[in-house]
Amino acid sequence: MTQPILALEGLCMNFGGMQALSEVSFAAQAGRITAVIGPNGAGKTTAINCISGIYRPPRGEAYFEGQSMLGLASHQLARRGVTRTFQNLQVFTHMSVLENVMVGLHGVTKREFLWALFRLPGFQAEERQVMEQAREMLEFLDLAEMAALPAGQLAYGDQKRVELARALVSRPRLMLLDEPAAGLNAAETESMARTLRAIRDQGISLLLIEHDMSLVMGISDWVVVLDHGCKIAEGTPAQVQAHPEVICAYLGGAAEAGADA
Amino acid sequence: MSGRGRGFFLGLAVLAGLVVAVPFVMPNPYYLNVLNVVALNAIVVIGLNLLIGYAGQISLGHAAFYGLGAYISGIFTGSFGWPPWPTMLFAAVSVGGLAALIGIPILRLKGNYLVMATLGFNLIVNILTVQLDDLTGGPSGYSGIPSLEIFGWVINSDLRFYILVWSAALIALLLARNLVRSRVGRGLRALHGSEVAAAALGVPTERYKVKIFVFSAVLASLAGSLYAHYYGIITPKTFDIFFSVELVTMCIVGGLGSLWGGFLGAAFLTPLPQVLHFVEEYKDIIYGGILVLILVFLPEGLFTRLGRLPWLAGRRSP
Repeated sequence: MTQPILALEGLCMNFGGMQALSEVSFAAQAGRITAVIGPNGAGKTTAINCISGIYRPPRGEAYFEGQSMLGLASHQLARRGVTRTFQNLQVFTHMSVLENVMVGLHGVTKREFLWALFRLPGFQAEERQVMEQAREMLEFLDLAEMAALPAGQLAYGDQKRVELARALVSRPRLMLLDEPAAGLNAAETESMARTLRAIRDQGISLLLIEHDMSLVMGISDWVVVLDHGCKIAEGTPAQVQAHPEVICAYLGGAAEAGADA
Repeated sequence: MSGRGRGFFLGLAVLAGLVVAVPFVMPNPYYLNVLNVVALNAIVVIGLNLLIGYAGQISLGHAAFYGLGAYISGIFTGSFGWPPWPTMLFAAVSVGGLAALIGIPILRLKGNYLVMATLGFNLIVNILTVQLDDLTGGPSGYSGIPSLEIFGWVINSDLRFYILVWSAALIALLLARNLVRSRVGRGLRALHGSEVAAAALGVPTERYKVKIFVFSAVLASLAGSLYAHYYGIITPKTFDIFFSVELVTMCIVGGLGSLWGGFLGAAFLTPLPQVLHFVEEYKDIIYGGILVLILVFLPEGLFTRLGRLPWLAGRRSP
């Protein structure tokens, strides 16, 4: 088997006495869409926060392309090709849509204070390139017309696309998406699904956390199910849907039959 | 270059034109003196605005950085005979280093701990300037600071200092604008909006906060050095925490996150003590009142009104 893009091994995380993740292990293959699902409080967002440098888990390991990624700060991960979006939108509301997306290229550009202050050689070329790449990304996600608007003025669904554009513009190797369809209506969810597939088809690996089952089952290549901080199942969407423990976790202990509806 | 980029340079040209015209229109040294102080304050406020308005970090210690620049320049040139220009650089580097020492531990913390740390720092610096009277002259001040000199041209009049300080202020404005309209400026505004999101996109948030804090302290130090050589005498009272509060007020009144606003705030509030000299003991109350009125009615500052003029809208440009 080829090396997975992301591998978690025995990851644990607790907040005070509460065990948010216990011994979670799974792998995400390169060029695939891997989904992490589970009821509320299952530890999905905690898992993403652990591997994106926000929390530092006390035990366990996480590997990005075979290299340990725990202990790296968020901005270092971004430089290595791991970006993310957030469940509760974290759009820079006071900046324009274009500027939001330009920030997405921060990790892959390098001209610092002195270059900016004195416009040293190489600065303008880098700025032009950043602008160009950001504009291309706006085209790709149908945001070009809103480029100059303050991002905070956009409709919710458009803001979600701004976050996506921002995380995608640097061509990361792995994107972590925390509920990309949360709060979207059916049509928007459908369009989000098409976009995510298109991103995967460009060779970018996706790890997504999601509540929307139609989205997960429609686009994921591999599904991992968490419940109360433990992995209870993983497999293809069809395998997971038929898994008795998953049915139990989602529908409550009493459910036995008819859960395939 | 975008239209808004041209707008900034048009504004800069207009301001430069005004600066050149003023000495011909009103050569009265009293007015020039007021305008010189406006420019000194504007230099500090430009830096402070980058820190508060763009990066979202509040400092109540910039009077101390200003004062340290003034005292280091004053004492080393006055007592030890160091040459003024290298001393000014030495002061700026020292003050920048001090700011880094304060900033590195404090800016790791989330929340407004920087306010407390800088407030305490300002009090300490103020007490030191009063108590170390062998070195600083104590409460009555330190005098005998030599004038600056550029290739034999001694800067010993209000007009000559006017030329120097306004050139410096315009350069500071240009540099600040360069910083704002860059990858660095976007990174600073991004971390102001959301630190986690900025970090997730590759912005080294802690390092950026420290760097902009140091940069603003260095600008304050340079302005302080200029002040010392201009007046030839400096007193601790000039650099107390009330001046720090005034500087923050200038930022807010002018408009946080707008570089022109810094000028406007400095221009509006600097002459106020002179205008209001008949109610001097109420000065701080009047400052506070202005601050409250601005926050209630014009929370984005005076400049937002002027900023709607299209050719001036160089701020927050895409």
